[in-house]
Amino acid sequence: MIVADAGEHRILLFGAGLIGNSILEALSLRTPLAPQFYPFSWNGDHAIQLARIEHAATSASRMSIIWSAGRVGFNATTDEVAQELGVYRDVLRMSARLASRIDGVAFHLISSAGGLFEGQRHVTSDAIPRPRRAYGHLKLQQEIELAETNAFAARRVYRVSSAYGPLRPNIRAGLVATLLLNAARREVTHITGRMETLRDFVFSGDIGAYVADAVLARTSRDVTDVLASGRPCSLREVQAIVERVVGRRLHVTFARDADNAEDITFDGSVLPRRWDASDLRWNVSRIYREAVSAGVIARCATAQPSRILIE
Amino acid sequence: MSKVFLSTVTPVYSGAEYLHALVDAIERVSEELQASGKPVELIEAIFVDDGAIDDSPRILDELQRTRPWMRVLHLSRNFGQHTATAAGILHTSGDWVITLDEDLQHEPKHIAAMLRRAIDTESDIVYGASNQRVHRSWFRNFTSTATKAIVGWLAGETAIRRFTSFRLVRGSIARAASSVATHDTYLDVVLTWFTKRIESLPLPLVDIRSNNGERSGYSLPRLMQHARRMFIAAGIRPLRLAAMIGVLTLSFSVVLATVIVFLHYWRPEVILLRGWASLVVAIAFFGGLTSFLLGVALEYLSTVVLHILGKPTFFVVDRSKDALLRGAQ
Repeated sequence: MIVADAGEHRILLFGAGLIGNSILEALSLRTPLAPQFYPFSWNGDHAIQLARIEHAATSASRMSIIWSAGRVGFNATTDEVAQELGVYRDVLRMSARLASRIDGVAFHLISSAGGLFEGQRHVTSDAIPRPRRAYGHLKLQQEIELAETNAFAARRVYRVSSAYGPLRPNIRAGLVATLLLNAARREVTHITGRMETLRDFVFSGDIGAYVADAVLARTSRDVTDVLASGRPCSLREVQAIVERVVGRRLHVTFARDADNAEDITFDGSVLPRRWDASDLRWNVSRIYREAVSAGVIARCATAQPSRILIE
Repeated sequence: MSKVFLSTVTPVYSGAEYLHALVDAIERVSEELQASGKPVELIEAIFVDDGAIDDSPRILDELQRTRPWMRVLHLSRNFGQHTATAAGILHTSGDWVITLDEDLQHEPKHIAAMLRRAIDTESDIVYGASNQRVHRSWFRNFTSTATKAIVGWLAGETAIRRFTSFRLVRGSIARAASSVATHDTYLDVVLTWFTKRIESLPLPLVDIRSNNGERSGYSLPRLMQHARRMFIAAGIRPLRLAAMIGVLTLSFSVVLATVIVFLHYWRPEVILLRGWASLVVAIAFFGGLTSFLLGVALEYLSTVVLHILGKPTFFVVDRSKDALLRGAQ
């Protein structure tokens, strides 16, 4: 958990994973920040942890709370989902209390487009979320509970499709990162999905920039955005891109009977007007070059798994 | 109910004059498919502005404004028809992708027939082949057919004769081929790396542009460039041919040397001029050896080039959705 002060604007960021980190980086580029890190464990005593955060956050004239935390993935069980939802509810309640004391508290929720629209292809703005698994129901429930909490000046929901981003040693690696790592250590990547399965990959840096702009803008509107690239991309294409970037063939196995193998794609019309998704090919190349030059590949090589479930 | 989705891809270079009619024709096909009650839907039409030299980009943007199913991609410069087509295909999500020219040479009304052909023949690709003279110029028709026939024979790929830019391709194969295609590969040859189930459907295709006396976008140098790319991507048969000629020449030189040695010892009187025979043997032997070794070395090189170009070791395809259309016929 990170509390960052941008002048009189206090920003509470829950979750320092791929997207959380990108949001923090984008905020740092846009405004001088004084971040403070607070421990927030999924298994710890949330009441004490949240009380400490609440106490630290009261003296602000404006506040934005960002929930980009997530412990579970596509294959989460009902119990795991229930635990995560419980923590989210605690944070939402704490945020509502803060909103009752401070004017202009905005809540930003990072949701999952893949979880909400699983199995739907060519999702348009008229599409209705129809989650198929516990993970999708969790994301929908989080959105519903935020919509039912009227304490906030603005409620913004970002439905993010399959995110990929820079390699970091302590962050769960997605498909691109896993393929790059396994290419480096010449290991087999086991992908739970079919090679022709379509997903919509979106760069975490683009998400971070978009959310950071929304956080810093003074808005009092409730908005739900789908942050996708609008370009369907097969897993085979991702494999080909990574092979071209690293200059060698990858060893990949696909699980044909995987229950997540159905396509999830988004029509360009569903994307926000000011959103501009960058190109997968150049981003993969950039991620690899940055990781190699910073020595991240070597540090990640022993820490990440070789099995990946496509979300 | 589950449906089969179709996407169209049209690279645009100088089609301002035809775009309104083309978009209307695609829209009509979409409506007809919807009205047919069959489980098939045209979900998107992707137009790739390949550094167009006329008013096409503005017209496409204008048309797109009122048609949510249309999508326009603007490439930063002219990359060529195959690259633009590959870029468009990589933006599709349909079960089948149809590629069309900008000038209505490939009328969208034939899409349903091509799809039917693909389902009936269990194919992955159906080319729209002309059942009449496409171009008014006999020279253009002849060179086009001859080039394909020669390259097809040299490359050992008979499907090359069927290549046209009016294609119906299984979506997964189209996207896989486009993802490995580079600026210097021939898209149709790359498609043959993924499937051999290729059919063609005779259709009344006419090059309206050339028949109206307009200049074709394909000049002779450009057509030769096409042939070169087709040839390079097609494979290693010419190299094997060179190696084979080398082996034959080498064998010939050995036989010749044997004959000469025989004559030298047993029938020396038939050799009227000394030195010539051994010179011919030496040239044939070393020429044949060089040709053979060069062929072998180039075959190695060709294997590496095809590897770099992205020729797949294997590709898995799911044709189970075809049953939806088979049942609906």
